[in-house]
Amino acid sequence: MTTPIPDGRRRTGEALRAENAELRLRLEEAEETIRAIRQGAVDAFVIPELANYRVYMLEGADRPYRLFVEQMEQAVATLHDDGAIAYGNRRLAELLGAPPEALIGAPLLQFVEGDDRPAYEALLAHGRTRLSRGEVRLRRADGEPVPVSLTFDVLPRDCGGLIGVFITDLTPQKRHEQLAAAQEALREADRRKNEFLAMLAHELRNPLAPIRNAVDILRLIADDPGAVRSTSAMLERQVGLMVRLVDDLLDASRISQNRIELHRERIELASVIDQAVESIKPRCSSLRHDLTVTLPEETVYLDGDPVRLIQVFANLLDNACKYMAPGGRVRVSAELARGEPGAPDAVEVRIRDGGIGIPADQLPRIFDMFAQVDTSLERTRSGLGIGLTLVKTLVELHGGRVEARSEGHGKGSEFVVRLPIRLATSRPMPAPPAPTTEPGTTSYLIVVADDSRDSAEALALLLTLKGHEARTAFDGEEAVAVAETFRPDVILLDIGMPKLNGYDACRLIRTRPWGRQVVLIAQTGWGQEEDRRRTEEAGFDGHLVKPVDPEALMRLLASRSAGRRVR
Amino acid sequence: VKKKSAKPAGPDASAGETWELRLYVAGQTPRSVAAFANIKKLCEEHLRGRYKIEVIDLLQQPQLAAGDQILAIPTLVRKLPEPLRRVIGDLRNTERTLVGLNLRPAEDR
Repeated sequence: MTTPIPDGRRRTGEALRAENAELRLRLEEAEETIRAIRQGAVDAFVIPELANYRVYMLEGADRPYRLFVEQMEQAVATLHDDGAIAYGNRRLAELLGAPPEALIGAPLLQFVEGDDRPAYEALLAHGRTRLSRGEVRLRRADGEPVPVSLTFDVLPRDCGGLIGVFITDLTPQKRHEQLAAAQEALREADRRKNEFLAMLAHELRNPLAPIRNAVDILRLIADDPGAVRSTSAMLERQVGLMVRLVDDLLDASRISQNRIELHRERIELASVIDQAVESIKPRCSSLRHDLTVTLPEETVYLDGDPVRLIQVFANLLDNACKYMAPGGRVRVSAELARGEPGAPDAVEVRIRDGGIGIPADQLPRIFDMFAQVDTSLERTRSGLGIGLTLVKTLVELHGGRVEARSEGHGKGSEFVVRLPIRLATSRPMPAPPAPTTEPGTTSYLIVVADDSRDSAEALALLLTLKGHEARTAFDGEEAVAVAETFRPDVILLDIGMPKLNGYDACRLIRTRPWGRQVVLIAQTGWGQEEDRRRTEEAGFDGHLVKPVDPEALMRLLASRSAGRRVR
Repeated sequence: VKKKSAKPAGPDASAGETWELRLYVAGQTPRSVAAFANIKKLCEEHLRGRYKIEVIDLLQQPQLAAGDQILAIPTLVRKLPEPLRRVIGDLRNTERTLVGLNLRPAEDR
């Protein structure tokens, strides 16, 4: 305000007029300044102090509070009656990711997520007259939603009719809640996993002791054919037990990953029940249980995966046998369940036993994974507590349902499986063509490639004993080399092998003149549809899941020579 | 202090050049906030698309008060077009503000 007046110039009339105008302006400015101060239109003065300037707020006493409001971690704003922001603190600008000056005069509504705007407007409407509180999501300038709680409160009258609003960022709280829930779920999963591992170790060790003993026995009694036979039978039983445990484990992991696949076809209920009963018969007779099966007179067709449906009934029958003292009765009965309007026709299969039953409080949890009713110390019943979970999952995948009933402890139990049936139930289907070649009658030249030497050699030995000629290879390159000179009919390739994996070995063999006709079979630990598709793409003729059962191999070869590809 | 050219004052609003305004505030005091809202509204009405408002908070940078010789807060300074003009207060009186910024000639001139 002390701009020097230009001088040293000839004071012409024009220069004088300009000077006059400048002076008038400066006088006006000074008068306006005084008027503004008198009218209270300013709220601070800037006073030069030594080398610096200092700002003196006119309402000096409230400055600390202003600073508090500016600096605090709580976002606050005052709103005009129409919801426009009169003032917002630093934290609010941060929360919204917008510069402070962009807030002033803008309706707070503008920063509320579209879906939450009606809720916001209701809160604001209440907030004009009384305290109101609620949660909405704000929308940051970068588009990110922010969950917040809003508290509206009317300010005193002398604050110009403004509405105060307190905005609390709920992001940390929501994250904390999610983390706490996730942690609790993890803790529970960990507890169940630990319980399961303890049981698993126990179950897997059980068959190992007799197997090791059997090996010692075989060494001592090699010249006693009768003893060798009975010991071998025992070995077979125990290995079978272990295979079932491991199969159950694989199924459990498939259930938990939702990776169970059905290979549906039209099948007869009677055939499913027969095969399930067949699988349980040895156990039934060793426990002297009496097993009766009653099926409807009509032929009942299901649209299902035969392997999985047999598994369902085998598991239920196994349970019935397992949880009953020797000499008990198991009854299987099936009947058509019509008469539910709108629902597809169904068949109900009941499996009733006179065993230990299920206490009422455990009935709802009986299908949970790892749930077992057996609480006795001797734990004569083996199993991992997976069977019923698998039953329920498989039945539901087939569009059916399963129910457990029991009068209580010691009163036996009944499982009812309800499965939808195919509409065309009366017309019998022609039986699938039987394999034209009898398994086991043909002798093959076979190469077994597996980087596990024991596996390769054991399978080769077994195949040799069954009348075939077998060679082994322990990596992919060796497999190709052995085949090159041996010219086999069949090559069994492990997939995970050093030097050359099974897929690449297969592709390489297919490029050789002798390799086009050879039967290439993948032997792997993986039997999912995806794995089968990959081996097929690589050029394999078949896919067997390890450990390879020589009988299954022979069936596969027989069906192949009968012109059918079985995978 | 830089010498300002003494060309005769007159309405500049129609000149088409960009206006550079500077608002000196002290934190977000009520009058500073009001001054910002008022000048923003006024610029939108009269200078849409050709104005810039720079807000300087003297609570954070008091030394910047020296440049434009600020005495009271809020103060609005017109940097461009020249000559420099100052309007003190919360700019609640639109008429006075327009005259002060020379956006409209005063009735008595």
